[in-house]
Amino acid sequence: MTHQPVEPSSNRATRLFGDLLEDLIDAVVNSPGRALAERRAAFAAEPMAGAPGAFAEKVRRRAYSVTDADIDSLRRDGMNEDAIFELTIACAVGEAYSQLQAGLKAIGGRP
Amino acid sequence: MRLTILERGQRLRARVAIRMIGLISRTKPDDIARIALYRPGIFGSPFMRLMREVMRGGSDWTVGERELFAAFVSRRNSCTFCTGIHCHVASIASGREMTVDLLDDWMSAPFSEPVKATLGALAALKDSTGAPIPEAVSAARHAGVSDQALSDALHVAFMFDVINRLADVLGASYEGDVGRRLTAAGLYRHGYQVPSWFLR
Repeated sequence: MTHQPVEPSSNRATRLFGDLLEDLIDAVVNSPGRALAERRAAFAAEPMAGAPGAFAEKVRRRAYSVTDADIDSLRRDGMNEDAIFELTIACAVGEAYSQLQAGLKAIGGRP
Repeated sequence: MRLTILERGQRLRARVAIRMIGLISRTKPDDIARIALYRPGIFGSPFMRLMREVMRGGSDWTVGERELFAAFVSRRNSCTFCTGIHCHVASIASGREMTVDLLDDWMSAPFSEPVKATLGALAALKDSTGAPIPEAVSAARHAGVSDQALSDALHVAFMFDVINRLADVLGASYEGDVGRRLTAAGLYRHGYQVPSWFLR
């Protein structure tokens, strides 16, 4: 799995954030686990079929509206709790990273 | 919480950490800590290192201003849990009561011009109701906000774009208003510091 790397910056703080951010993303998309393929797809906001796809879209766009029924639909789809945990993290970090890139681009920094 | 693994599936060292957090904060342990401590190699360990640096490391922004940005982003994401907690952390850190009304009415709130302009840039990035992004960034620069300070604020937004989603999806909660304030006070005192042993 590859992602757009955080470009080096001459600024100390941004460079430090960038290094720590790289560590976080590497952990989310490369750590071994129950749902590695789903995690990678969710991080990159790639289309996903069925209940995981619907769930991922909701986490990205309207996380506040997620209910027990959304989690239950993943269970019925065969996902165990570890896989659901992983999928949720990948959706959250992926969407936040996408918004961060847009913000950094707006101030002229390379994402 | 919505996943039983976060309540009853934690390994021993995480259970010790959760117990300590509860004792220190004198309320139900912060559910975000439960999330960070569960299989920390996949998320919590790198996330908390970044959190500590973004929220408490060197920056042009004070701790109170960063907590205000955290509360503001949480409000924009409609995350009641994080808005409530970080409003109170911002109140403690700044010595001025922060409320949801001030977050909603930020344009006329008694914030400094650089803070207001930065909120404008965050608002523009979060949704289409703010000024267009280039104008908002330009306004922030005009108010004296450096690009580094804007980048720092964007990183605060990143952290809470993640946490808000995890809190809402995984079902984070606090025990009433007293629990909210105690959790916030604990976060303020300990500044997101989790001993690395717990996150290994």
